[in-house]
Amino acid sequence: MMTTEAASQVYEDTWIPSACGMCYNQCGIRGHRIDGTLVKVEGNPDNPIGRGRLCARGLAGIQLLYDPHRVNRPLRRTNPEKAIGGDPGWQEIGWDEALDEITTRLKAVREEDPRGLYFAGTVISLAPLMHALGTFLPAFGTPNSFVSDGHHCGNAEHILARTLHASVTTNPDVAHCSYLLLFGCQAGLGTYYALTTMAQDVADARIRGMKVVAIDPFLGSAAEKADEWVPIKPGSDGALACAMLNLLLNEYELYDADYLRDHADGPYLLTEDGWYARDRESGRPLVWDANAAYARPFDATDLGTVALDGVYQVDGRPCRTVFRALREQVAKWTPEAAAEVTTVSAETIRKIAREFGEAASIGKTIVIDGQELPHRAASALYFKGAHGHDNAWSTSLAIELLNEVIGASNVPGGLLGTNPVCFGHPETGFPRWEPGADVDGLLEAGALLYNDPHGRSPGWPPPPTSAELPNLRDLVGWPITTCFTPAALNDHENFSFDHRPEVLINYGSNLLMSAARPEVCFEAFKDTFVICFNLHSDETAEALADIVLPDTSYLERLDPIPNFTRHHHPVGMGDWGHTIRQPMVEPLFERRHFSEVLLELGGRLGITEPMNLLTNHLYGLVAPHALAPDEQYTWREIADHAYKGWFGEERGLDWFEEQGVITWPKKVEEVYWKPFIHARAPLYNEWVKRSGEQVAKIAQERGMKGIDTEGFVPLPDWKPCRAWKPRDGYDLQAIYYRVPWHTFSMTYENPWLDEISRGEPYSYFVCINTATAHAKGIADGDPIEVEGVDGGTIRGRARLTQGVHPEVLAVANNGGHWAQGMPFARGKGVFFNQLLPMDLEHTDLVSLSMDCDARVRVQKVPEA
Amino acid sequence: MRVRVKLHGGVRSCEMDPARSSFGLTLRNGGNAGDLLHALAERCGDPFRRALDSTDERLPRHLRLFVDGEMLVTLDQPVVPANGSDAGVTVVVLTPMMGG
Ligand code: SF4
Repeated sequence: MMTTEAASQVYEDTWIPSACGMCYNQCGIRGHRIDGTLVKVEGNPDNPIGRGRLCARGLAGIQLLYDPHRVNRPLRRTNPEKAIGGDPGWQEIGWDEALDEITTRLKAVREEDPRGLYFAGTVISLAPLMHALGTFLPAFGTPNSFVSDGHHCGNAEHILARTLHASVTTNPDVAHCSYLLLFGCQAGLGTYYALTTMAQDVADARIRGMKVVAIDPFLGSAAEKADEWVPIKPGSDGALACAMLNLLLNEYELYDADYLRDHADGPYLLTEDGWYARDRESGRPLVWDANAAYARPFDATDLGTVALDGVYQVDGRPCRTVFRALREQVAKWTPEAAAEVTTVSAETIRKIAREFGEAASIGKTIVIDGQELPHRAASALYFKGAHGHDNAWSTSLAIELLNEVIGASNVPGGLLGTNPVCFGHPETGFPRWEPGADVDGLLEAGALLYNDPHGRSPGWPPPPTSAELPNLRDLVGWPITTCFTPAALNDHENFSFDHRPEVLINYGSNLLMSAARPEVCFEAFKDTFVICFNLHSDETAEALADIVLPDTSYLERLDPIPNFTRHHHPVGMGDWGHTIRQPMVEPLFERRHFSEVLLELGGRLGITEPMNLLTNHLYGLVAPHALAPDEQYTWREIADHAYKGWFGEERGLDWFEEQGVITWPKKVEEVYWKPFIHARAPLYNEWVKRSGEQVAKIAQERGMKGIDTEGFVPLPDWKPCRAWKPRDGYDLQAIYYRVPWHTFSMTYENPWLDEISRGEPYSYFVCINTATAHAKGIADGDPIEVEGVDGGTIRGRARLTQGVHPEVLAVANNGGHWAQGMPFARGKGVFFNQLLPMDLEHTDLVSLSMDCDARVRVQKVPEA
Repeated sequence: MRVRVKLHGGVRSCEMDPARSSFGLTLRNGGNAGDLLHALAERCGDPFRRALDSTDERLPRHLRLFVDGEMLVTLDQPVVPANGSDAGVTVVVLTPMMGG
């Protein structure tokens, strides 16, 4: 027995640098370990991602590590009857037994038709997800991957982040911004990219005087802190943005003509049928040379003054400039017309448009690090609240163009792509990426997810070619993620795939709760052999899994370069910071890292060679740091190669385990790259128009129904989303909102975060406007039932508030768990997604965004 | 000059004889990625044929060609060195995912 003195002896007391993994932001952390036990996690001030700050989830992460309800050993289903809410009858088995069975099944699938392997993942575990998507799955030979939280993903925003900013997403340059307009987005005030860093930056900017206007049906984390809350009817943000464009372009004349002429396709001429007018010889888009008084290729060397606005005769036909087309396109959106749609008064629309345009300080410049740059001190940002509808593309385009017309795009004060230019570490030149221009002079994204050692990745996404993949990548290949796969598998009338899902590997995602109502995913995979690699026995595992494999949490695993690769860096000046995620403690029990298991499976399946080659491609590794094709590497060895490949021989895995992060200062030309890289932003989206025609043709040839290509518009407009219009007595719109202390559904099992929810008056309730509730005889705390017009019923308790639009019910995201394996989460909050179908009708085909609101009616019900 | 070609991933089924893990192709000395694509299109059809439709001088996103472990980026990059020594070519086809 230990003496008191011996028991109090401390043998180890150490701090370990790493990266948070409670959401996709990957903030720098350090963990305090004493005698093998992690006792504290705090922010790492040395890491530019977070700069020492953590949100509530990050602080609560330690509860995930020691959660007594985690899956600790492989489990096998003994109850052959799969059912939502059913008891799987878990039986613990050994890893060898589990992997032997999985290998046998995967070998059979690969021999028969590798497309029989399906994969679902989550962006929360980004580095292992990328490893699977980038190496294992293509090496195996299956294109059938999807991201279950694609329902809640950026979709249309990511497309425009790519075409206008060469990035995956965007953030405002609040350090130089005076006016921040948030459409259904909570940047710096609630949940969003680079959350913790942005929170400080937004706070600093507001002390300096930056005004924040939050356009949102719900008084959520951003609206409650904003200078002004503008309650709007869900799904109508596009109409508001069109009206603002109209005011800026046609009434107030607040636009940046130089930017639109020189850095966008504003002067490109359009034929009457809506294509760029092109030079007969070179095929280049034409602009109007006002000195020569004829149309010439945009890149002619001796161009005179280029006309931005007007209609000109080209080959005897009238051609408008893109700028003129945009002005005409939005002209019908008077503030009064938009007010009818949005319920925002015309007066408010005029005020916001004028404030936004004037704050932009068009014509002004600023000197940063000795460089004189345009200073456009206004920014419009949007996310799921605005584009989570089946009019996502057009809405997103309208909001993005607000920034473009005032020239606030990738210059100080404006909207910045998340770090699309990096010249690499000063000593090695790695990692390197930068965008360029395509043959039409338009911006072409640089490396997005794979790392090309040359800093570029080839070309635009492929055009529509077919409709043979359930994730629709061959029909609409430009959205980054989608969760449409289960809906396509269920839609037998439209999609007759020549293979079926034989095996599903489900990594970290809770499909049944994340991607619309659970029946959709259950139906799609109930006859499939399902492997869940996860932290908990969640709803998906209990309904569908045949085998559950115990995953490591982010505090138990190694992820080289977890902030893959630049999308989670804060925007603006400051430091680059490439980091490590490393185990704070060795994996507990029999938990294993997903990537290590994939390496083992790769070896068993004989696909090590292509996996190694693709790993080189994923990390942009070249000799001498590239993996040899035939060698079987450990995960640690791969991490060592990746770090040395980027930062030099002396900075391998050991160095990063010790130091945690490598930093160096960003350059002005990297951050505010627009004046330095001559690549025009496409205001006019000819590619969308072309894609729409190709999709329509494919649909017609295949006899597909419900493929609506009306939304493939090159310029913004507004049409109602399905939930916007009252139908058959369903008089309300239900929306979900995000609380900053939860990430999707997983964190509901965390007791500290549950405590926040319980102490906070709204997130476990259904919020309803006080006046609306009174008219319906509903009192605060009453049990209510919300019934969707497209099916689905949810129950909860009413919370009466004036902080929600009178025609709206608001529910916090992803509550209402029912799994036995998540006892803390079970029964807490309301399961909003039950109201959401997943089908073509509720999907914006351009971006694969799905309607994330529902047309509903509500009634008081008796106490259960 | 003969090069050995291994197909992996989504194009594995293009290989005529699934029992064989690789096959030989003849390319001219100094033959480049474009020449290799032509030869593969002739032998296997799609998706190599589709890649040839592109007007871009870069290899399409869905196709990755590795020569002795190094990835090729443009169609004019050599597969067979001008001196004619044999090259080991591994062709990996990426799945269309994550934005193509
Ligand atoms: S923002 Fe995300 S990554 Fe950062 S501390 Fe919070 S949960 Fe962790």
